[in-house]
Amino acid sequence: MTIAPDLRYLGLVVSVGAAVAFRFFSDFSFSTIEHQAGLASLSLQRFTPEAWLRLSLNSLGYELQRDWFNLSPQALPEVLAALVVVVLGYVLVRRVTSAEVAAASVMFATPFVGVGLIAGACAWVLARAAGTA
Amino acid sequence: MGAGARCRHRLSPDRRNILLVVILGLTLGGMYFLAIDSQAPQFTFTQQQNAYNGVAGSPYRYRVLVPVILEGGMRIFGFVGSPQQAFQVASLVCECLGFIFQLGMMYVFLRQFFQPMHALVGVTFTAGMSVLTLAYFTYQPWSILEVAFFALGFLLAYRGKWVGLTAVVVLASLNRETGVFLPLAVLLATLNDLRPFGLQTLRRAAKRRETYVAFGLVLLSTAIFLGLRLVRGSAEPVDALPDVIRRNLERNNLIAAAMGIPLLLGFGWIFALLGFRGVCRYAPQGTSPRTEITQEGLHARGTSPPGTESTPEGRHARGGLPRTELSSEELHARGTSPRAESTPGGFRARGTSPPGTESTPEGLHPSGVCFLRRIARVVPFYLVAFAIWGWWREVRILTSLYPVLVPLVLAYCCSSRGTARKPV
Repeated sequence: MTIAPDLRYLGLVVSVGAAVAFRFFSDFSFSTIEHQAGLASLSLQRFTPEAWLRLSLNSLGYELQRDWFNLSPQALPEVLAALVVVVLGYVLVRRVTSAEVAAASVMFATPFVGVGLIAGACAWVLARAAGTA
Repeated sequence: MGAGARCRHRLSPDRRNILLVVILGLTLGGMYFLAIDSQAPQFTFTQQQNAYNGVAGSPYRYRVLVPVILEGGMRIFGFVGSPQQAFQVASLVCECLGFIFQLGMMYVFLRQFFQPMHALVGVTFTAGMSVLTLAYFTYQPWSILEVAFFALGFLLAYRGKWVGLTAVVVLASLNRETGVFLPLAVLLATLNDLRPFGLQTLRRAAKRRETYVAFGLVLLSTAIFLGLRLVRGSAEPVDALPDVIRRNLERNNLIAAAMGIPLLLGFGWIFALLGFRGVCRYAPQGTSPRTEITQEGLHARGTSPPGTESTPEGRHARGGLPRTELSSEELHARGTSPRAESTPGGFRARGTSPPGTESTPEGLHPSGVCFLRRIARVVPFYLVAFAIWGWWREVRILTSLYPVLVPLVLAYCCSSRGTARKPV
C-alpha cells in the first residue's frame, strides 16, 4: 500500500483530532455548562476571573470524565466540525512548511484548542448570565 | 535583534522539542488530575492509604511503587494542610512529572531511530491520543509510569545498558504486574529468526548472552511478582475474573470498547501494521534509488531511476548510499555479519555511527528496524492478557504499547521520499 506522505501525516492528525474531539465534545453545549455549574453549585451571577476559572475547570472535568460512547445529539456534528478544523489547520500550516512540521504543530495544538474552546464557551455562558442578572 | 533572537538561534531542535514535551506533559498531568483525582478525592485518598498500608485488594496491594512515591510527596507537601490536601498536591505534582517523564522517554527513545522533528511527531501523536484515555477509571497512576518504564527499558536494551535495564525492570515490576512484559519484549527481541522452529533453533538462540540475560530479567520480574504476594500477603481480587468477563460482554461496555480501541491509535493501527511489515522506503528525494527494508533486510528494488540501477551484488552504481555502507547494511540486516546480531553491546549497530545519530536523512538504521520489529513481538502476548484480564473499554491499559507501536507508526509515516528534510 502506497500513500502520499501528506496523507499519512493527515491520518495522524485526523486520529488525534478524533481522539480529542470525542473526549472534549461528547456532550458539549452552553446548556450543559450551565447544568453542570448548577450541579456543582457554582454561581454565575458575576463575571470574575475566579468564577470563570472555576466554571472552566468544572466543565473540563465533566467532559474529560464523561461516558463518551453515549453521545449527545449535538456531539457528532461537533466532532465532525473539529475534524474539519484540524484538517484545515494542517492544510494551512502545510502551505508554509514541511509535512512533519505541520503535523507536529497541529497535533501539539489540538488538546489546547479543545481546552480553549471549553474555556471560551464558559466565558460566554458567564458573560450572558451575568448580563441578564 | 536582541537577546531573544540570539536565544532562539541557540536552541537546538532537541532542546526545543524537550521544551514542547514538558509543556505537553504539564497539560496532560493537569487534565489527568482534573479527570481522575478531582472527581472522587476521598475515594482516591482512601485507595492510596490502603495501597500504601498493604490492605488494598488485589492487584492494588502489589503495586507498591507509586503509593510509596506519593507517600513521600505527601510528607513533602504536608505544609499545605490536611493529609488529604497534601495528597492532592502530591498527586498533581506526581502526575505532571509522570507525564513529562513518559513523553520525555518516548522522545529520547524515538530519537534513537528518527530525526528530531519526526520524534516530535511521534510524541505529539502519543500525547494527543492519551487525551482519549482519561476516563473510565479511578486512581491508576501506575499506567503513566509504565509507559515511561517501557520506553526507557527499550532504550537501554537497544543501547546495551543491561545494568540500567535491570534497574528499570525492577521498578516496572514494583509498579505494576504487567511490568513483566518489558523483559519479555526484550527477550523476544534477542531472538533472531526462529524458523524452522525446533529444539535446535531454540538451543542456538539460548547460547547467546543477551538472550539468557533477558530470560534472567523475565525470571527476576516473575520473582518480584511472587515475592510481593508473599511479603504483602494474599488479597481478595478487586475484580474476580468471571465478573470481568461478564462485564466486558455487557452491551454498553462492548460499544464503548468498540469505539475506544480503534480510536486509541486511529489510523495509527494501520500504519503500525504497515510499518511492521516493512513497507518503508528510505531515500531522500532525487538523490538515491528506492531502497526498501523488507523481512530479508535492506535491498535495492528494481524501480530505481535511470542511472542508479542496482548491481548484481545489490549495490547501487551511483547516487545511493555509499557502496561500503550499503554492503555492510545488507549484511547487517540479513544477519550474516557480527554487527547484525543483538550483541552484548546492545541491539544498535556498533561502530557505524555515534550515539544519537543513527537516524539519517535516509531514514531508519537497519539495526533500528530489526529492534523495533522484534520488540513488537510482545504485542500479541499483551493483547491476550488484556483480552482476558482487562476491562476492554478501559483503553488506558493499552497505552503501555505506545513505545512499541508509535515507532512503527513513525517508521511508516516518515519513510517515503520527500519527507526527509532538514530539521527545523
